[in-house]
Amino acid sequence: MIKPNQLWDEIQRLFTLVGQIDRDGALVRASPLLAQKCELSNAAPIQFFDYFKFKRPTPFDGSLAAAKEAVGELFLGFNEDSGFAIRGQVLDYSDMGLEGLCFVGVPWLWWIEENTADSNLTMSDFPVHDVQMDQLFFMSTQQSMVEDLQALNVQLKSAKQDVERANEARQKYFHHVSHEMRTSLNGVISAISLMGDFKLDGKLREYSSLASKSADRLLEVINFTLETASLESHMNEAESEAFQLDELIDECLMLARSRSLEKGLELRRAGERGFAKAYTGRLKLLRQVLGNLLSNAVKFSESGTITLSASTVGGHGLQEEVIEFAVTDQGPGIPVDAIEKLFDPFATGLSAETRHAQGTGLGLSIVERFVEALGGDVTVESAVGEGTIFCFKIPLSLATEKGSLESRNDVASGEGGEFSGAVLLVEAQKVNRQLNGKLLESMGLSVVMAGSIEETTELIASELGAFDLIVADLEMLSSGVIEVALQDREVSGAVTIPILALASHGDEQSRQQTAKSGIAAVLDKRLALNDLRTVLLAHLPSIGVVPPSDLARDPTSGREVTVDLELAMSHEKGAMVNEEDYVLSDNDKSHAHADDSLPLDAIAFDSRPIERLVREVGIDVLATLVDKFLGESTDRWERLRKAMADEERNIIIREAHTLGSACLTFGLAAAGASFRQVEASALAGGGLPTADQLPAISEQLGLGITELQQLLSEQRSK
Amino acid sequence: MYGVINKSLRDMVVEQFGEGKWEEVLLRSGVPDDSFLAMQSYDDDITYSLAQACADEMNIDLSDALRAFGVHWVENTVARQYESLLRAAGSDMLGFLSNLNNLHDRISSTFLNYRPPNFKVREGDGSHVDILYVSERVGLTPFVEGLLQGLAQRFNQSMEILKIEPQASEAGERTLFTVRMG
Repeated sequence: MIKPNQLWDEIQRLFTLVGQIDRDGALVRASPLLAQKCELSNAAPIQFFDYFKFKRPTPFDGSLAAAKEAVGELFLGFNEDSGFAIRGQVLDYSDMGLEGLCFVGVPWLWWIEENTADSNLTMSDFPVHDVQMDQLFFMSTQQSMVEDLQALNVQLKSAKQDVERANEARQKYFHHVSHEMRTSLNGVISAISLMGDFKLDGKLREYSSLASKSADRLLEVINFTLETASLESHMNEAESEAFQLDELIDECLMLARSRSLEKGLELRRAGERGFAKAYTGRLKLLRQVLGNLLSNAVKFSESGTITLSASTVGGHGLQEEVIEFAVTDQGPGIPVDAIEKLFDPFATGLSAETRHAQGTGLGLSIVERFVEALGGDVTVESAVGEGTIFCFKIPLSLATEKGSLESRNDVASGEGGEFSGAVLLVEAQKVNRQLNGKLLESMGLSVVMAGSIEETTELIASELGAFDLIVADLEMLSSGVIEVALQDREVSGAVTIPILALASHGDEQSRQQTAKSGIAAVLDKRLALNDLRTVLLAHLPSIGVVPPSDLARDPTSGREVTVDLELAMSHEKGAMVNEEDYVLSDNDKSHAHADDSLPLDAIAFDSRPIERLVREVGIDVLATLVDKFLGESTDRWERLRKAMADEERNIIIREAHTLGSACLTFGLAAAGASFRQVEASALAGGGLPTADQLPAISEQLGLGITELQQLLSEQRSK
Repeated sequence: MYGVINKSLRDMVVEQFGEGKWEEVLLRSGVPDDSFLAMQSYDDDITYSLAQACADEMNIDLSDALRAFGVHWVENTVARQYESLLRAAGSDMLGFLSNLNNLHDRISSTFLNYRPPNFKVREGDGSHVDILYVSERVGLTPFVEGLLQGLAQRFNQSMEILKIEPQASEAGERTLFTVRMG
């Protein structure tokens, strides 16, 4: 049996603060440290539970009875006068000869550190097993860690800002270089094309043809490289956004459709249809991947079917689903030895038979990197002579309810959108199609574009119910095919869709006829925002329509416009919008070209259409469209020249019409008028216009393009 | 060694010679970046490279650089960041050194890869005190010499190092300092 004094000594080996409290609550015996801190003396005994105020246990009223109740619990007590605090337990050793209660513990370091300037505590005041000193050290180091991390955070923020600034500069650089390179190269291509107007000897013709092909290919590589580099610079910062997978797939198929139709390929969608849920992901990267794969499939296939499929293969019912995409073609296939290097930059996997397709070899490299960035791996299976399948699986998060709604709003109303609804835009001429598409989108409309009658009839047959309005080229409408397709659908589905026709200057007769045939309105092809708004008000639901007082004044130029709300509401089906109201209104004349006194067709360049387009679609979009126009017009010019040489009336009419329309859209007034004359002359049915006229038109075109590019440079520098 | 050592070395150079000099030291050392986290363990070679680069950049011996660093470590780094521990470890230089092993033992419970040195204090005939330094690392005796000088200054005691004797050791370093306290 251990004696009380032995017990007392053993307890003091384990704890630096030990006190014996008698039945009256007086501290009658204390370890040296406790005695020193409490200034204990026989002359003045202290009442232990009065001397210390206790934060623990709770509740605790300081009575001996309460202390007995709390035997074994944690006691945290402090004395503000002495600046000392204790941490420990009250134990009952009365059975072992220590009468009353015993406190066993250590200094309460945190309270002392917090409340006492100089505690004079040393390590020897704490038993080795006590963790408070360790905690003190740990806290000191943690504070140091926090400071280090804060400093690192500042450095990272600064580095991020530097990267953002560098990216912005890089973006501007790419934009500038892109424009300068394309413009110069377009000049080269135009010049080579003009050489074709002269009779060239065999060798010269051969060299000219070689130069033309090389320049075209160089333009393709430059376009691809610059656009890809620009996209890549944003790859890491491409933010997640909510999107509808069905819409994305349809959009990608739509973009590939015209080229596939040209080559007689069938383009199909397979896998799941109707992904009802909205997803959140890096949409820009995914769109580029699907676009590249489809474009590749079309480029290298000469026949058969190209299929894009998408299916959910994992994560059903969870917050994230795994979607498998596959693009399958029935093209020539890829030799086994080429597959290994297929994703390397500039590797095309071309066999001798398919080399004529002339891929740049960059598309698949981009696909691989972007798919990795999306969290997947792209695989390829191919058999020579049978076809190729590119496949990848990526995780896509399900959009939250809010995200889904935002996504739908983005599609439905767009930025600053005034209208809601979906429009089928039918226009053969690519530049006009894209330009008018941008205008419609800028008004909040979802736009699906069709570039041919076949594409249009297919869309009408499959998706007519999805459209609220059809905006179509008058010439294409005049063929009657679209009308028949519409009637078929309207009979079967009882759907009536309003149609707006887009007419050229010279289509006055067709306008009158069409206006009588039930078409809702006829607008000039060079769509003006206010006129479009006016007509749309009569046919589509509007969202927060601009009030009449605002409509009467262009918000950017401050000039008055001639269309007001009353006029807008008066446009019922069949009504005509007076082209002169916006093409050459009195108010516009103050902004007219310096050569206003000259007839419009006598000036090479009329700046007003460009100024209007800059206001309506922005300089960046416009510059891109002008670049595309210049690139496309070279081919059209060549086709027109050849048609004149071969006396192909229909081709002359079509190419002259398209070139004239595009020229007028971009203010190339003299050239536009000349093309119109060529078109009218061919339409008249007499002798066909000849290539002798082309050098004069070429000169008009050259002068006009120079002024056009100068104006674009000025606008960009603003 | 822990990042706190490397940070302290940087602070010493920056405080005494400016940021530019530290950039030169860093470049000379070949250490790629100086974003040290105090409680992160780094390869010893980084610390040795930085110390050697400091000496080369200042055109002084490595031992002089380490000695200066030892003083800086006590007077600045430890005093700023671990003052409460320093106070708890003793009220005079010999008391502190006697408690130092105990302090290192406690640190070992937080820093699992911690490889602290060991100090033994033996008071002689009154005219001198023997301090035996034992470490797994080699080449840091001048740093300890600086530490002793820094501690004497901190506790306002005069101290003279009478002798520094390397001791036989199978691994690491073992040094006997004989000092006279004022």
